[in-house]
Amino acid sequence: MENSALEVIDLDKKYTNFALTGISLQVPSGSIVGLIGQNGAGKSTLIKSILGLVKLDSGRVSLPCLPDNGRKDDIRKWVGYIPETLTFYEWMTIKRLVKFVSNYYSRWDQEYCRELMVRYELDESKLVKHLSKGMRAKLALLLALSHHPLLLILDEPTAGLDPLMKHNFLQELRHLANTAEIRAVLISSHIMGEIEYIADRLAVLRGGRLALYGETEKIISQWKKLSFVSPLDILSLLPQEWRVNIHGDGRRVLIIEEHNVERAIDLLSHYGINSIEVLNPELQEIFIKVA
Amino acid sequence: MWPLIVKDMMQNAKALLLFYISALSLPTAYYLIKSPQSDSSGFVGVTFSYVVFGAPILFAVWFIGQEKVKGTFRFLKILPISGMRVILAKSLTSLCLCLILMNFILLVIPLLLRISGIPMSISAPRMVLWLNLATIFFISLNTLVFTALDHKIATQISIFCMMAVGLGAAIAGKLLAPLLAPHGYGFGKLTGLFKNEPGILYFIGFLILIFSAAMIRLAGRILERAEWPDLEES
Repeated sequence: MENSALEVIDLDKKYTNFALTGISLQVPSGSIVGLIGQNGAGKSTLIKSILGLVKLDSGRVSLPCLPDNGRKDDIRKWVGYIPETLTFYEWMTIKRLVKFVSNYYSRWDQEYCRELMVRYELDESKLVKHLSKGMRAKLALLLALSHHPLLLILDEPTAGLDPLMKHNFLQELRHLANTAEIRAVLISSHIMGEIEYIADRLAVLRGGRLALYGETEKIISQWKKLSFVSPLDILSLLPQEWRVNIHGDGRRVLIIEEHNVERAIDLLSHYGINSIEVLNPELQEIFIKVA
Repeated sequence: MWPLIVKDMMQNAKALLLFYISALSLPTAYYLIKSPQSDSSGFVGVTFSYVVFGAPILFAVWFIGQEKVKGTFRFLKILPISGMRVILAKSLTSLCLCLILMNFILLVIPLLLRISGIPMSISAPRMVLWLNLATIFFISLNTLVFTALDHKIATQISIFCMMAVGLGAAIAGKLLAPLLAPHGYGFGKLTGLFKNEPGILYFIGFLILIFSAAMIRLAGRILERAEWPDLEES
């Protein structure tokens, strides 16, 4: 079995109008896990459950990447976390905020912090209330990385970043994940391209349940895209779970699991459709199908 | 804990300064306007209503309520600081600010006025002690109420509780006085009884301190266990 950095076992968390049910996943050391799902699918709740920011109704979270599985010590010392929305002390300057936060981390690296500040073009004399959304995202990143976390948990971290900054950030994340220090990265995002680029594992949440979990390449290779031309009335004869998309050029697109390809081709041929292209789908297409 | 205390002081520096100026100038003005013959009861009355009742609510609003309204409790929650430490820092800041202010008003100002030639009696040490204990109690109570509840509800509850305590004591005194007077019992005599039994007073004082510490501890536990969505108020 692979060396785990994070294990979630049968996690349940109920709210009045939403429930996270039976989530189990194992994150191997050195991996970047992309957490995707529609709004309200439970991504942020799962992240907060892992961090202990919400109480679990049942289940267990284990962090083998932390000393003593993170049981004895405050796990927040070892985790770099950027929540979906974060309010800083608006009246502070960046310098004061950094100084305030640094007091609580024994592994805080002021040199690295300065380096990041230069790289992210943050002016330490600037008041937090005068920062743009992108600058705030950079500040959150700086605070999350400057104490050399062992586990990075990022909830929509690139929201508000410009395309260049986003690209640089993702590259840096890749680099960080390859260093011995950071054992794993869990990143949630709505942007599939971003997740496909960065994550070597995917966790797709649907209605509070884990709909898919596995290696990104494996997941993508397990799905196929069938592209063909057909009259509309034939589509109603296909199994309902085979969602058919209609493209602008009039072609129909069927996203199905690889083991159904043969059956689908047989069925379509039966209705006289012979010109069928079998392609590899994009992650976005799989996500729409699954989530 | 120091960074938290410094942060709270800096965050509310303007409000604290204004409060201190008004809290110091009000009793001074009260005494100067009243008359040279007046005793320290004026000071005690104003100090009691302003510092013992008013300050704990104001400090709880500034130190706890504002963190909830602005959502910065969430920021503290992601840092490796225990809820207990946060509450302890806030309670200690409030206590120090309140106790320094009150003792300055009760002891230092009258002393300064006396030195400057204005005849002024200084509050009895026992009175000062009880006012200090009352302040500790109300600060702990407000810390607990504001941590546990929405700050608007907490303010209402806090004001209502304090008014109820004050009014209740006044009404009970008025009602009991005519009943006790014919039998030779009065407020003076009643307190006189306690004067001869310092053990009872120390015991009550000790109970107040224990109860206050328990309220602060409970507030710390509440913050520690608070879930992320509950840490921000609209």
